[in-house]
Amino acid sequence: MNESRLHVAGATLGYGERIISANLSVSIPDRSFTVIVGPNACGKSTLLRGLSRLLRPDAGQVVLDGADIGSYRTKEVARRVGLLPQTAIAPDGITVADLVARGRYPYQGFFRQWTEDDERAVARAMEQTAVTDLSGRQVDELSGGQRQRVWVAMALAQHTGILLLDEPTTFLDITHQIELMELFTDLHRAGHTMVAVLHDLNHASRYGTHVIAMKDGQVVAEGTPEEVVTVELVEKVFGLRCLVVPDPVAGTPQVVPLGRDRR
Amino acid sequence: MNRVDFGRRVLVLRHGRIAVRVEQRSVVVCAVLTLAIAVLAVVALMTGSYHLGPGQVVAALTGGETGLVHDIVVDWRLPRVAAALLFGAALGVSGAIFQSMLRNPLADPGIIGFTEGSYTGALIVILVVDGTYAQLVGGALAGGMATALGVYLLAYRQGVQGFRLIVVGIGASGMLASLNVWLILKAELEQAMAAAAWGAGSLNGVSWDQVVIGGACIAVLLPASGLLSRPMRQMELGDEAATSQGVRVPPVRLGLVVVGVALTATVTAASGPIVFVSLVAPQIARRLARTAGITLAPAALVGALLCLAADYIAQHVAPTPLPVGIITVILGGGYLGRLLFTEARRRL
Repeated sequence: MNESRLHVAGATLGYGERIISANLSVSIPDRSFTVIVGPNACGKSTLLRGLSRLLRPDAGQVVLDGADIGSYRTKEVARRVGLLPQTAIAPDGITVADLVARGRYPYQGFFRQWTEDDERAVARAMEQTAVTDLSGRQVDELSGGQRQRVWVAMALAQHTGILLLDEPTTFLDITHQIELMELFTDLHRAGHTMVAVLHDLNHASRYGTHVIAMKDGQVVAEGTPEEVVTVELVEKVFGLRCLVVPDPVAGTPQVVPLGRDRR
Repeated sequence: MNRVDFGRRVLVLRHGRIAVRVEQRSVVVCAVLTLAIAVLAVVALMTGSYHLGPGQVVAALTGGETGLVHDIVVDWRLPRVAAALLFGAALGVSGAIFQSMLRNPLADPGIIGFTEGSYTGALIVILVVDGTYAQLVGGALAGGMATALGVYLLAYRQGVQGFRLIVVGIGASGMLASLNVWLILKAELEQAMAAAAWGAGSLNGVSWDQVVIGGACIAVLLPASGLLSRPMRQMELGDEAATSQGVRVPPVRLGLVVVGVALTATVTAASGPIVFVSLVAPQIARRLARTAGITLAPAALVGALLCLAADYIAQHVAPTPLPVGIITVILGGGYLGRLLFTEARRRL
């Protein structure tokens, strides 16, 4: 069994009366690049919301470093788990560096707003995401791919060992999707535990080290991409008939849909 | 030299446990606004049926004058100037809080029904109880607060989202506005005129008592808003981003609503509703300081300057003395029209 700083123990996650996942247990292996996949409304984003304590479980608990995530001070959680949400909004007229600097919030106080550490962390985060050259530009002026890298930089500046990404590549063109996935791989290699909700199974198996497949609020399978991304599982989870062939470049499992007109 | 390029000049001050970063332009804008306020305040203290020189005003303020000049400056004119500055600052901050919280440049406490609710309260006191001025103020506050609270609770569903607050607030304001019209139609002419006079918002006859009481409330509320300003700015990134960065969103939002409404309520209690200052001050401040999102200090200073200027025009420039609320409506309405016009042009 792998070590796990962050895991869900028998949690019931939902919104009021509507329960998405009942009695869900799942662990995020440390230093993994975990990818959560599944059809729409399978509860993958809800799981991510639970892991980032945006959503409090109705029963059970989410455990971070051995204690219930709800028992920490909010800023303490923010120093350990970062999140790149889908819904982040850039305030009008904000510059790149200013936005990245907002990631330092959990380390700041009323009189400690911009220490040497803050400055170093922001400079480093911009370097890692290759946005240093954009640092003085307004975020509104950037392209979609650049803007997403800036949001990643903000989450990086937060200096958390664990980074949660909610459908980070949605709305990007294929070049920027790949660029971003490679950035995540770099961060993973640099020691971060990455957890991403993704739609693209081929990205999941090429870049992920650990894949969690979900359906109807429950984990159907988890393991390495080779273990999880199989013909049977894709049919079971997504209801899609397909072939799984080795990716000609990376050798990882690649899903090729059969479609309606083929046998 | 800074390692990080913010695209604008920033000043970093680090000493002991203090480490702050401010944008140079914001500092300059605030300094210029403060200077403008000081000059306009002296001019306002000079002007009146008994004209004084700037030297006399400054001497009276610093205790160098006694007798008539001292009485005119300190007892007659200063309360009104102080009221305009304090109330203007309070309104500017109140508007800034709501615009930041709701991420909407057209938001102010009126959006959650405070303005219409306080007018309803005042009308009921005038029409039903035929009460004194103190009762009228009490009624207005009760009406405004009750409406704001009602809107907040109606919009509450596992926390309060900005958009739901706006929609519920607009609905409640609409209903109360029609109720107000009905109340005025039912009223006697004299009562309706008394209601209209209060409803216009005026600094006429503001006394030291009102300034001191209002000032004391504002002196508590402004620092409170200062403490909330950092989580508030973080929440401009969205609730999810703010939560993941360690902001406790629900209590901060409740705190912002309470402080924002209380600031406007304080002003309304003392002078009647002075509208549009809370709407335009944060936007003018943002354009002057070119900050990202809304900042409180420039909004407070612009609010103070705007209110003082509007009251000066109402008192001395208008052919007949007017309530300051009328001038702020004209200034604010003009500004709003311009804002809508430029926005519309940008879309075309």
